[in-house]
This record gives sequence, structure tokens and C-alpha cells, in this order.
Amino acid sequence: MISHHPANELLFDFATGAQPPALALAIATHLSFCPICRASVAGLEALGGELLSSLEPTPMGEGALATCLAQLDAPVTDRAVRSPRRPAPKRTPEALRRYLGDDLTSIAWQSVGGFFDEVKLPELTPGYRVSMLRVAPGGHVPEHGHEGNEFMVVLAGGYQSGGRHYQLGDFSSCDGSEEHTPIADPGEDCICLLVLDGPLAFRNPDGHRISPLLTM
Amino acid sequence: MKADATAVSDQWLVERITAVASRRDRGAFTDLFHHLAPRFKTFALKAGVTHQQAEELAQETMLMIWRKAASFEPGRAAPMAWLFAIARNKRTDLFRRASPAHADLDEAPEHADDDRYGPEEVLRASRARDLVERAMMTLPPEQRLVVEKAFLEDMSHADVAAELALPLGTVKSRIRLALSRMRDDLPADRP
Repeated sequence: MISHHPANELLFDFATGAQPPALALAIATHLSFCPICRASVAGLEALGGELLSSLEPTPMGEGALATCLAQLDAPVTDRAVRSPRRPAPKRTPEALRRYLGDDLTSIAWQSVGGFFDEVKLPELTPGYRVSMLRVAPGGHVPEHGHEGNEFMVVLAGGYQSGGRHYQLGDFSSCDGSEEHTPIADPGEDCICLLVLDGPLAFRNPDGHRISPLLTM
Repeated sequence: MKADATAVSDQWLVERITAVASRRDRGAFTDLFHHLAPRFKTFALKAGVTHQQAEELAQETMLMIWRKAASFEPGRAAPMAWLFAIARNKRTDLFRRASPAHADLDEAPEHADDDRYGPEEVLRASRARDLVERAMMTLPPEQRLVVEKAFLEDMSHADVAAELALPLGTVKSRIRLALSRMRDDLPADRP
């Protein structure tokens, strides 16, 4: 059951389309698991529809209709089959398929300092870092703070952090005021989508900053 | 081409979208073009693009309506909500950041199999639409302004705050107040 959702303003910026794509990717991924937030977005789209219908029309150019009609038969590469949005276990959510393929188990992971595995996605928004994270059962990400915001969506397994338990589809966000040491649940790998808009500040057990494990 | 300034009903839109979906009816599509394309053009202009870019957005949005008409489910949402989502996705696609998140939601909004709608949902959808319409008519101007800037001028919370020189918290609370008028069942409180 989903118990951790994006804040209302994140859903709002997603619905208006004004959200940075890197962050919208995390929201879209959560939405693929969460009918409650989908309903919220649908409500916002209804508001968008009202505003759209209140707009004064601006005349189109001469021949605009003819141009449009001429393109109706142009060949289109459409997906023929509508696939269910909620991904089956280990299937990649729709929003991520273009980066990861259909299957979470075929990701080409790279180890980060022996603590966890990761694969970085191509840049979507300057200043944002988007990656997939995999932590072994019971494993932990070393304690760190945040110079910006950290957003995560759980795609497999689960983890504990700050006294809260995050499971499949849950969305978490941390800002600069928080430090944590997420620990993966026993039993299966924890796989998450991670979006950062600022670097993480890792510390060794003495509390000294160590070199960034994840470069922006 | 003279812009058609008359209002149309949901029924008018639904009939034409479904005619396009089921019979590829170009007459129905033409009706939709005359009514919608000029509004999509205004929608684009409000985001600050040129007339040429705005025409391009309107054309591309109409094309997407032709292609995705079969995915519109009457009763699930008001037709203008569905049309807004298509226009929003196209605006993001063409003008800014080619947002893969929206594009991957099938360019026109898809619906998950596990929230297939029944009569209660149909009722809920039309009730929600009534709420939104009524609320919009009575919004205080400062709430209306932030909502319009967000939806129509393509601004995030932070963008609206910067443009209006307001604290981010003020923008958040005005949007929240505006939205609270439009729902009779507020979701559980979130951070």
C-alpha cells in the first residue's frame, strides 16, 4: 500500500507542465503506482480544462485548417496496444522504459564504492542528477546530508529511513535540513529512482566529509 | 480565418471527439479545429512564444487529438480536461524541455487498467467538473492570478513567486486555498 506521496505543490507543477523534466520523471513514476495521486492530477487537469475553455480565441492563419487536414494521413509510429500502467513486478514503469528497457533485472549496474550499485540516466534538466539505485538486502547507503533536494521512488523492495518505511511506489523527499542513513529491507534488493538537484554530503564515521560518492 | 468565439458544451465536444475516434469523421474534426485551434493558439501565446510557434503548437495539438481520440473516455473526465492535458504535453514537448515524463504517458493521457470507471466514477467526474466551474467563478483575484499564471503561463510555484515578488509560502497557500474550493473531499494531509 502506498503511504508516502509527493507534496501537493509537486503534483500541481506536474499537472501544469511547468515542472523540471527530471523531477516530473519521479512524479510520473510514482503516479504509475498510485491511483490517489492520479486522481489529484486528474482534478488539476480539470481545472486546466476550465482555464483553457475561458481563453479568448486567437485567429489562426489562412490555410491553417487545410494544412492540418493534409497531415491527418501522415504515417505515425504509434504504440498499437495500450499497456496497463501499473508495472508488473520487476517491470519498468512506463516513464522509465526509454532509459532502462522493459525489465528492471536487465539494468547494467555499476558499483559505487562497494556500498550500492547505480546507473545514471542521461541529463534531463541542467542541475539535476537522475539515476537508478540498487542496495542489497539489509545494506545501507552511508549517512549523508543534502545540499539540495533528494527525491526517491521505490521500484522494488523497500527501505527504512528516519523512522519511516518506504515500499513499492512510495515517494520520498529530503531537503538540506535532513541527514539520513537509508537501510534496505531484508529479503530482496531495493531498487529506487533517485533524483537530486544538489550534491549529497557523505561523512565517514568520524563525521568528516568524504569525497562525493555520487558526482552531480 | 475568423476565430469562433462562441462557447460550446461538453456534449458538443464529446460528440465530435467520439465521431473522430469511431469513424475518422473529418467534418467533426473540422468543427473541433475551428473551436479549439484558436484557443490552443492563445494558450501558447500566454506562455510567451511567437505567433508562428503558437500556430505550430495549435496544429500539433489538433493532430494529436486526431491520433488519440480513441483513448478519450467520456464520463471519466470532462473533455476540456483531456484536451488541456494534450495541449500541456505538446507545449512542454515543443517549447521547452521535451519532458519525457509527460511524453511517455502516451502523449495523450492514458488511464491505468486498475482504475477503470463505473457509474460512481462518472458521477464523481461530472460533480468534480461542476465544483471546479463554480469555484473558478468565485475565486478571489489573488488566488485566480496565481492559478492562471501556473496553468496558462507555464510557471512553477517558484516561477510564480519570482514573477509576483511573493514569498514561495504565499504562492503555495494561495494555490492550496484555490484548490480547496474545488474539492469536497480533501486528500489526507501531506507535507
